[in-house]
Amino acid sequence: MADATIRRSALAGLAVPLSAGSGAGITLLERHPLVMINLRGVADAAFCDAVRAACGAELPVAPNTSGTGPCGEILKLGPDEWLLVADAGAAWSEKMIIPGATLTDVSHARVAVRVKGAKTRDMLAKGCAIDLHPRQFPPGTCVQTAIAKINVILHQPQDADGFVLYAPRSFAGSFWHWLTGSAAEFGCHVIAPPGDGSMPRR
Amino acid sequence: MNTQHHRLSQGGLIDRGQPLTFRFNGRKLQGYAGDTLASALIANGIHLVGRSFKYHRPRGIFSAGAEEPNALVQLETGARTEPNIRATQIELYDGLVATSQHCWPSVGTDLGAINNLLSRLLPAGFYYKTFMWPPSWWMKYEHWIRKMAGLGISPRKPDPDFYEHRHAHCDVLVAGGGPAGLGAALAAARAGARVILADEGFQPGGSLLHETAIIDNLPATDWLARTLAELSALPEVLILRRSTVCAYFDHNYLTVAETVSPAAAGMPRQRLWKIRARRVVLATGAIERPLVFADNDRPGIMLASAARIYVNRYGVRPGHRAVIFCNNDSAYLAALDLHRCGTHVAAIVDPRPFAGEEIAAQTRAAGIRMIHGHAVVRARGSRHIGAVEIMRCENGLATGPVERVDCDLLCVSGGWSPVVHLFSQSKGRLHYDENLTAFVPAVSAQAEQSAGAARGVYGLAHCISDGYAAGSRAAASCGLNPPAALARLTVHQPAVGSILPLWKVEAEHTRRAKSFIDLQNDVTTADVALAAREGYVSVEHLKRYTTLGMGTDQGKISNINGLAILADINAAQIPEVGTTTFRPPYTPVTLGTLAGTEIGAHFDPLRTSAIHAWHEQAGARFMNAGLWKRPRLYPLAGETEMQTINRETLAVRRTVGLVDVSTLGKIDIKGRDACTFLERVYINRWRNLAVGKTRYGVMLREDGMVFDDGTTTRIGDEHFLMTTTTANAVRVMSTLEYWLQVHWRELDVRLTSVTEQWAAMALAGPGSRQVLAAVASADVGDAALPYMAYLETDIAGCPARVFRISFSGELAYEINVPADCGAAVWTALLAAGQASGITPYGTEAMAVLRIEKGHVAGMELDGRTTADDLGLGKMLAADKDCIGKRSLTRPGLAAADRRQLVGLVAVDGRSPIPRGAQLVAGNNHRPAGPIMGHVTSTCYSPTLERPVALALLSGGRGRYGERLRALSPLAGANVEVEVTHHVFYDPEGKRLRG
Repeated sequence: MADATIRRSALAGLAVPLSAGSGAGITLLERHPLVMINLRGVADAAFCDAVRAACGAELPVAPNTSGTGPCGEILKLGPDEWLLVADAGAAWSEKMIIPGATLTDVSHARVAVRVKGAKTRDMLAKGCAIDLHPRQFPPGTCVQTAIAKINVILHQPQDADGFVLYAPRSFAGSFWHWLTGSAAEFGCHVIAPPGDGSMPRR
Repeated sequence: MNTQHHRLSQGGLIDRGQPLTFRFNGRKLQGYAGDTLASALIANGIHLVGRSFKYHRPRGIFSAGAEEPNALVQLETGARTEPNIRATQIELYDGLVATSQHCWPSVGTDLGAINNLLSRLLPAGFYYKTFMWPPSWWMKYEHWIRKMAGLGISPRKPDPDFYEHRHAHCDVLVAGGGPAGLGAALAAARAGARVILADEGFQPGGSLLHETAIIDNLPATDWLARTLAELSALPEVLILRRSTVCAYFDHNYLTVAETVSPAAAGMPRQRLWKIRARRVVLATGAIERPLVFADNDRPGIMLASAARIYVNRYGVRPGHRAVIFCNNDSAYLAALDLHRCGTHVAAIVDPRPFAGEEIAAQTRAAGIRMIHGHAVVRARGSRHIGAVEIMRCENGLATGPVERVDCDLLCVSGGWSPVVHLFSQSKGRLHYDENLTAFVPAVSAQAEQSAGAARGVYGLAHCISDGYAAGSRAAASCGLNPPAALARLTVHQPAVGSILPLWKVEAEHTRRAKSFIDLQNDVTTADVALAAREGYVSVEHLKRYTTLGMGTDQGKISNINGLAILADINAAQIPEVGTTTFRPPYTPVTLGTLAGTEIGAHFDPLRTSAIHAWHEQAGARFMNAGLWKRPRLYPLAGETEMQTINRETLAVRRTVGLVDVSTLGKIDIKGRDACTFLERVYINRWRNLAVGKTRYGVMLREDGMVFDDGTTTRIGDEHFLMTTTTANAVRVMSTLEYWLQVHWRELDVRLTSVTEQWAAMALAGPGSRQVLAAVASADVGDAALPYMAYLETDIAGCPARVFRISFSGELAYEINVPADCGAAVWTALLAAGQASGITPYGTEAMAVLRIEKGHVAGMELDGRTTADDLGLGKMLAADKDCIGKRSLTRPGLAAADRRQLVGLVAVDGRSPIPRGAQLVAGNNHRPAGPIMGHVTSTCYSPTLERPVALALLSGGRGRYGERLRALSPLAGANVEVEVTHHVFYDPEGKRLRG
């Protein structure tokens, strides 16, 4: 699906730049606009090849893992379900031809926030019951869990620069409240996405 | 001015360079940094701090820790006030304000003390016996009993602080930072384990903080500092101070309540740690037991270990002239410490024939008189102890002449009880150790082990090495290489030896005095005897009947004495009597800590649509629909809600309205067998639905009752979009996934929830086509987009899905756009409709429109209605199967008297028909049963200009024209109604096809 003239993030007006000075233990950075595509299919060898050919990225097969390629990332959500994530304008789309795959555009269904900084794990631990210790949650790990009663996809990208949290769009306000409230004691720095959440058509 | 006349000139872990001022019962007093409130009070010579629960007897500081039964205070005032806080654990701070509880007008002169004089009228079970009759008086009694009972006062103002939760994971959780806990943490940490060490004190160390022993040529406190430094330097070690492990749940999941210090803006007041540990080491120590004799509750009586703590750790003198009464050696250390600080120790009274050799020699060298084979039979004095009566004693029976010894401090020790609370909470089994006269952990139920005094291992060196061994084992079972063995410790500490059980002391001349077992609940030996006489021989019954072991301390110091005395009465062994169940929390946890941040507006997260900001700006009033906030109505200045609803409703009927329906569930269905799947899910036919067409569908539960309804659109040959009700969105999705994953594996169908992807709005009213045409790039005329058709177009530059469907009964379109574009499209539609008077409408008007049109919603889909009950029976396709169809053959579902959907109108044309009203026969004065049905949805219809309602009525479809009473005792209404068809408005459906 083509991008609209105006995409207004559910966090527009919330994820506004905020400096906490030099001592910020947490940095919040919204990722927007994104292309997100739900992928379903049976992960046999042919399917993995097809996905690799179409997406240029390895299909993650092991539970709670992710794959990454030049276009974006593939997060494993279930035995036959994945989420493709790329910056808006990337070549990935619902219209890609991948034999055996069902693709559904969910680009607007979630908000994505990268949480980074020295105190990231302490802050996430206020609501996240998953063990985020580097030995237990190495780069590339991707889990689905509840944070503050909100279903969240929690992903540590390969660059290990913090975590990216994906929350359902309708929960964006409560989710942001939780993020900033939990980060407050550590000093919270907010970097808004380019264009304050709105972006002209490419 | 220094008020601390009982402060020693040197020694202790307090900072004499940092004086702190505080108030107790209005008196301005001074203490030092490092004090507890209790130690600061003793420094000021104050022992009398409270009144007892039942008899209002004067009570003093009895212990120096979590087990404190008496010294509970009301801490602070106003919004931050907290009741029942143990003075023995409050870290003193400048400006602290505390008051005594449960006394009036003051702790010194308390009118409630009349209860002590009336005590013969207030035996165990007094309330049960007295306030039984007459039953109608129960509420009155309760009011006064509640007033009399209880201890402190709950805050009445909103809490100005906030509380947080924190999850944590570790290899080894060590509960307790005393010698054993430090040993365990040290071993596990040296092995490389992720360790959390939680200690309830503001200084970790447990007994090391007051031990006079020398460890490896270091004073105990220096050894402690060295150990803490080593632990703190390790990156995988987390030391939690002021943190009580309060609960042990299944799967090694434990919670820890931490008081955050220093208190600071932006910081929570307390944290609840939720810890998942691979292994747990319980190093919770042991609690000293008191002895039971007449008037053993007088202020100035305290545990011998507490006296040591006050002298050694806090540098205060709990008395000038002390008597020690004990049945074991450990209390002799108190005598020596008191003697060393200048207190005159008048005597050690010990029922044993002799004490341990080493300790006895030291005591003798100090010139302290030891009275063996004797016991204290009674304490004299009222607001403070003045003397003790001593008699020869054998097996608890005192005989012979009475010797009176003056004293202002009586230190008691009846032995030690390992703190097995967490172990018991973990479902571990206890064993009674005769030699220790205590319950000790025996069989673990979870991956834990107890170490040190918590399992009956005493002595510093033994505790440290027992803990170290436990920590090593814990690390090893986490797959780590165990650490190097602990170098042999050299500890200079006198050995403590045997104990002689002494559960109570009885003397002929003190028979009428009270001997307290449970100080907090005022339970005496007589109460236990009475309970046993009345048949309460189970320890659990004893607890409920006498309140022994209840309250904020949960009997930490009283339970073992209580059950030993019960065993004695029943001529049973202590293990046969058993213990009561140990339940969380170990010490009270404030409710704010348990609630964390999930309070007030943030109790649950909220869901809002992409258009929410517009609704707010427009002044909408919202309703909760599950977690969603939905606009109910958009009032104009000066409008009543009724006027708003009527205006919004009529706008849709006459011109055009716009409503946000983003909350409806949306499921994308793709695959070769998508159509077959729908045939199985819905009761109606789908094979013949053309691409680009929409159809209303009804799905059943397996029991044949209607589950959900909504429209589904064929977007492509193998691609459908299903909508569900808001309430059932998640349930429908998971149910459909269940059928696909479990029963219909052969179907090639994939589902994706797209509820969040699309913002949805309904444009409804005779003018809707004109508005849509103004903003849509595609032709939306009746030929291109007829009733129940679908097309894709751009709207205001956004790709949109447009469905010509109608919930209102008017010409209408449902428009879906990607959610990030929702607000832009909404405002574009409003702008395009401005000339036609477009009116945003909320759920209230939406409900009126659908009731007028006779559409069913959640109130009718109540899980008890079949499709036929709702007038939808004709939809059921005869030539195919679907979920729930077989259940419809049950005779009860075809009975003629089933409640069927009907309409109701108020006969007088104006009386509102209350929702939930029951439909009966009769007249205005005498409604007559039986109940024939009930009102499900109701409104004032501005279109029909009268109240109308939907109802489920027995055999309803055959009763049109009948007059009934809609009776609602709750609403105080009895309205005459006429039964009609449930579609009030445009039954032919001309308008929606217009």
